[in-house]
Formats: sequence, C-alpha cells, structure tokens
Amino acid sequence: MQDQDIVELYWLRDETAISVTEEIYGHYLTTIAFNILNDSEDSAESVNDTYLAAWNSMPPHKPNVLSTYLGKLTRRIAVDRFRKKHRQKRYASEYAVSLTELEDCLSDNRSPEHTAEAQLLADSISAFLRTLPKDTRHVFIGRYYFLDPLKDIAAYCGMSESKAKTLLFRTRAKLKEYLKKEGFVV
Amino acid sequence: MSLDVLHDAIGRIDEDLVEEVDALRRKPHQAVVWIWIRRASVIAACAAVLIVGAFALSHAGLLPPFVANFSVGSLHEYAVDDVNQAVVEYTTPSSGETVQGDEYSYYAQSIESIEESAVTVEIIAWTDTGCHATVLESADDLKDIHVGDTVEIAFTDDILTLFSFDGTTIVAAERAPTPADLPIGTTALLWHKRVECVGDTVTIYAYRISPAYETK
Repeated sequence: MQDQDIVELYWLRDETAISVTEEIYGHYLTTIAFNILNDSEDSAESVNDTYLAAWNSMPPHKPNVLSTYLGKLTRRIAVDRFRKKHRQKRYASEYAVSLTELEDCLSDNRSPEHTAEAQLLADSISAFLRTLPKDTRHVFIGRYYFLDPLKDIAAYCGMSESKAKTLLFRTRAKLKEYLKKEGFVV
Repeated sequence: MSLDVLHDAIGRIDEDLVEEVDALRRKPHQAVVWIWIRRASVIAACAAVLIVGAFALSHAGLLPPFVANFSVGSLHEYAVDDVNQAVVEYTTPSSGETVQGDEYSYYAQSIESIEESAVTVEIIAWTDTGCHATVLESADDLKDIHVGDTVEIAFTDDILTLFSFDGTTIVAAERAPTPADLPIGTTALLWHKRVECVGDTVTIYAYRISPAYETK
C-alpha cells in the first residue's frame, strides 16, 4: 500500500490505518525510538504513542512522505520520554514527580519560548546543512536526527566509521562557528 | 541556548533534508568491504584500459616504444633517459645476470635482444636528409619492415646518436648521425617513432640510433 493510500485511511477515520502503519513502519519507528531510549519497552510505548499522534494529527496533516512524518513524531515522543525518565531519576522528589505528571496535561510539553527558539535555530541549522556536501549532511542528519550508531551511518553512507567520525567532528565545529555568526549564543 | 533546544531544533530541520537521509537509511545498503571491493575493481579496470591503450598507441607509432627501453637492460634505460649519467652495471636481458658494463657487451646484447620498434640495419648510402639501409633484423616484424628490404632512414627532431660506451658513461650527441659516425657498411641499431610508406618507398623515422658492435 502506498503512503497516499494510508494517509487517505487516516483521513477517512478508518482504524485499519493504524494496523497498516504498524505493519509497514513498525520496525522502522521502533528503531528510531530504540536509538533514543535504548529500552525495548519504552520504545514500544513510544511507537504506540506515535500511532495515536498520527491518528490525532491526520487530518489536518497530509504528509507526502509518511515515513518521515511518522519518524518525526516518534523522535519527539521518544525524546520527551527520555527527558521525563531522566528527570525522574535525577530528582526523585515528589515535586519532580508532580511536575512530570502535570506535563501529561499539556499537548506539547515545551514552552512557547522554547518552541520559538527551537524553530529559529532549526531554520539556521537547515540553512547550514544545505551548505555542506551531501555525504557530510547525510552523516550529520543520520547521527543527530535519527540518532543512528556510527557503524550504521558508515554502512548506509558507504564510508568507513573513522571517516564518518571525522566528518562529524568537523561539522560540529563548523556548526558552532555558523551559529555564532548567525547571532546564537552557543 | 540549552542542549534540549538544540536537540529539538535538529528535530525540526527541513523535511526534505530528513527525507533524503531517510531514503538512504531505508535502502538496503552494501557492507563497506563491498564498497571497497567495488572501488578497487574500478581502479583495476581503469589501469587495464590505460595499459592496453598505451600498448595500442605504441604499436601505432604514436608513442615512443617503451618496451624496448626496458628490455635491453638498465643500461639502455640510462642511455635513453639521461645520456650522461654514469653507469656501473646493468642486467643483461638474455641471461638476467647483472654485469659490470663494458662497451662491447652492451651493444652485443642490444643486437641479440632487439625488441619492439628496434631495427638493425646496414647503412648502404647517405643522402641529404638521411640514409638508405638494408634491414638485417626486425624483432617486431612490422608489416612494412621486412628483413632484406631497402629502406630510407630519416631522423626526428629529437634524434639522439649514441656512440661508444667507455665502461662508465654512454657517449651521446643530441644530433643526427653523420656519414663519419656511421660509414657505409656499418651495422646500426635504431629505434623509430613511425614508419611511412609511399609507393614502394618505406621511410623509418628514427629517434635513437647507434652503431652496433659484433660480439667478440
């Protein structure tokens, strides 16, 4: 089944959309979640939350590339779960627990300032990434967007691990300089 | 800027950038070792094409004959590459032995080991532009050069005339040979760049020529 057909199922509010999504993208999304959480149970829960988020966001969204859209949702959900879990570990106080519980009441746990700043920064990072050679860009996005291990990145980019590592090191330094020039406090 | 903001920002980069990598990740990819094997194959194929091409050009007379230079022995390489470079020993092409150089053995080996594009001739007449000669031996047996043929010999602009070898140095001159260098009746060894046939006349354009010495 093509992406457009699956999206159509979501728009028709047909519940088979979720089972089809699970069948086609389940493994893919679990890999993204596991790269972030390193925990099978948490990853599975994040992927389930992704299906729910997809159900709630389509409509109004009509993504062209479903894998990218779902991957983005999974990434955000898994990162939130990671932060929540680690905050609980660091501050095992009732206050921290209550804050975490209250976060569930919000549709987006991030403050508007945080979201605005992240979006501005994202635009700059996108512009920066477009200045890079393709290989370098792929390695950077593979590592910091998909959070793939270096070994996997080297394999799908067709290079050695050491080369990927060197590219990442240089790109981080370049990004820092770029963001400074753009006026971000780094 | 906090690390969380930076991380969230990366999560919000343009979708087309993400799609590009997403497609790459989802495509079945080859192991790095296979990529290297593939690259090595390409390099090997290119090297093979270059070698075959160089041989083909050499046969067509478009390149100096490099086979002869190496097969006659290191002494000959010296003679061609740097005529004034001292030579103390060389490897004979027939036996593969390393020999202390002397004039007579070098030329004897040259005659015995005529290789591609090298021709042995006997000078029979001198003209204003070169000389006439009878072909005594032609290892490559080019279609236009046959043993016993009478040919004309012309000299290229970069002609190098090799003279005697005193045991340490090849004596050479960057000019065409004169009748005094190669009198009529002399056996000469020459390397040519091209052969031209007009009617029955075959002209060999030599770029190296030397008198050949008989084996003692």
